[in-house]
Amino acid sequence: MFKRILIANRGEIACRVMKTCREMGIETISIYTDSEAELPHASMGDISINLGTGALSETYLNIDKLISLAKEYNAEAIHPGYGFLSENAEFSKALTKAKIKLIGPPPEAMIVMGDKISSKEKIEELKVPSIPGYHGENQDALFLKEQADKIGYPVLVKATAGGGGKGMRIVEEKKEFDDALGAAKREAMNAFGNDKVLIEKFIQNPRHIEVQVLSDAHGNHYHLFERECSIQRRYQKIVEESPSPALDDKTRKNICDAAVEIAKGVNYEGAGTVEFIYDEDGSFYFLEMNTRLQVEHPITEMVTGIDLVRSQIQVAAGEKLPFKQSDITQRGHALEVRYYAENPDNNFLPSTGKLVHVGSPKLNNVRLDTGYNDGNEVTIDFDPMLAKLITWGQTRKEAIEKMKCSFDDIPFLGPVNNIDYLKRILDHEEFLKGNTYTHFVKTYEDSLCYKESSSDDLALALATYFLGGQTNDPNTGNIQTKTSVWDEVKGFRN
Amino acid sequence: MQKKFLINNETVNVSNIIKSKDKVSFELEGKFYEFNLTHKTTNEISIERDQKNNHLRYKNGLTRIAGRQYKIEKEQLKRGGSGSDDHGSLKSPMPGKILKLAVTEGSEVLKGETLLVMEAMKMEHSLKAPCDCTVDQFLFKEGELVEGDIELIAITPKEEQS
Repeated sequence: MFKRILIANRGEIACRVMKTCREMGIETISIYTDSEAELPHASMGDISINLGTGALSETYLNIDKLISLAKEYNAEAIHPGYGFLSENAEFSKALTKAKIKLIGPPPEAMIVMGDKISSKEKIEELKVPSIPGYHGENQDALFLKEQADKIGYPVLVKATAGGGGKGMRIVEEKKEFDDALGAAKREAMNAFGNDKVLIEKFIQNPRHIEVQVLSDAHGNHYHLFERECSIQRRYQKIVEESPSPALDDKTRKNICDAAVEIAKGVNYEGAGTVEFIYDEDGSFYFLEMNTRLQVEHPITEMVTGIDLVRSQIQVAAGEKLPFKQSDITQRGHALEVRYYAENPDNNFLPSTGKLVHVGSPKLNNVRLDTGYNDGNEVTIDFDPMLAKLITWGQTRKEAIEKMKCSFDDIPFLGPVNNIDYLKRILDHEEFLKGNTYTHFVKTYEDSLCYKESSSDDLALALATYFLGGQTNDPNTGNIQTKTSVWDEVKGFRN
Repeated sequence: MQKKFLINNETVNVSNIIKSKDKVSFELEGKFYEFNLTHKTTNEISIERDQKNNHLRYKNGLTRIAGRQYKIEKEQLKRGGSGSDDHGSLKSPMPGKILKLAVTEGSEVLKGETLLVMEAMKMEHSLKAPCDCTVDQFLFKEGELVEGDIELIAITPKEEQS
């Protein structure tokens, strides 16, 4: 087993990985940039290293620097987290050359599955269905439009190197095609330096269902059941759950088996996720495989009881996975919501500022994964995700109730965030019925809109103001201006 | 005694405030409220009303109740008029780069037409015409970097033209 691991990431995922390392008695090296010195991940490692200031290419994406640090500080392996270099085959190859183990799949699997086109070719070979579309080299605008006509509208235009909704457009009608293609290509060029797109059939009522797989280097390929992540805004997941309320046992088995076939077919190693689009009629289509740990992995950990980071590390160290497929069960129901520093009532615009109070779980089986503490600054330099809140219950209803009870315990007071909006989703009758489609947020836009507070809630808010006293700790938050502090002092004399 | 407060930047009139160290009563929107302080620490507070305890987190005039954050301030501290005029505004939503000016200056456009495309947080944002109008001037060129909340386009709404 490794003695020391470098965590090539930041924020909540760096903290998440370091927790398991600590449990396993493995030392960690955490890295951070100048502006992040106060964030928990910066100092959480046994060794923590300042990468200075600069563009991401100078810091978290600087392959040479990460390798030289790993060597200098005797790290035997690197955990890439998600995002950043986690699906970068060049990084994987460079590590192999430097004799440092990447906690992730071999570069071959990463290359095949990393490109949306080659991954579809591979899975066609494996006889797993994928969505009708054009995935070829010809990028001529007129030709692409012909392909779209052939597939039939609505179609999806999507950057082949894409992710996170960047470089992606839905085209409802023929006349919108040219504009959408232009926008998708520009966005893709800016975000990924590659404007190649593919076109595919757009499914009307899709669910996003993905299967967690785990493979070791001894030919064992297992699934850890599914996660449904249909509730998305701007193609970013915000609510995830396991099991999916849509699947019956037979479909569940089929979709999980298909994922295992894919893992086998690419000689996968480590933790991976096979994403599918699930149609109302029960058919499912391969979407993509993410060759890394997913943001929403905790819900799988909650229902299976398996620590995925531990498994990743065991596999990377060459060990056999310590369980068989038949040992893995899906118990109860887990729900995850993602806290974002953004305003859902103003176009999901990101917000910034000082976090006054984060909070902590009060109930059983509630898990908070975050990379922030009280007093930390939320900036636009990195992803606006503040935290993941995960609850487990015997039933779906119980997990939902527990989540709603926990919002006020973990309030992330400070810059506007989406908790209020998440609660509206969890309160929505269609969500409660399990009618979760990827366009949920759009379909129910009206019923998810801001509702006036009750006077009872306003009164309670005022009561906390009157009875709480206005402590103004200079280290945590500057919400009030200096004048207001003086005004408070006067107020108390009245 | 009546006082004005701002809750999430909206004015609220609170009257008959009677406050002691662990008790407060007041009238809000015609309703009488009485609260007792049960317990408090730096960030947590328990407040009783009608024999029911409410356990909340709070700090610096901020709290979260039933999922919603409340920011409470005294009104006179606030310079008036800020905030609510950004519907369909032609301001940059956040710092970013102007990618494309979609029409030419002087064009008459219909409501909803894209006027300008900018990139911020690696996503494209389109600024669309808030009404039928004439585009008088783009205040920035393609490729320029802009701050957040800056006017980008000058327009004249159609009903004002004649």
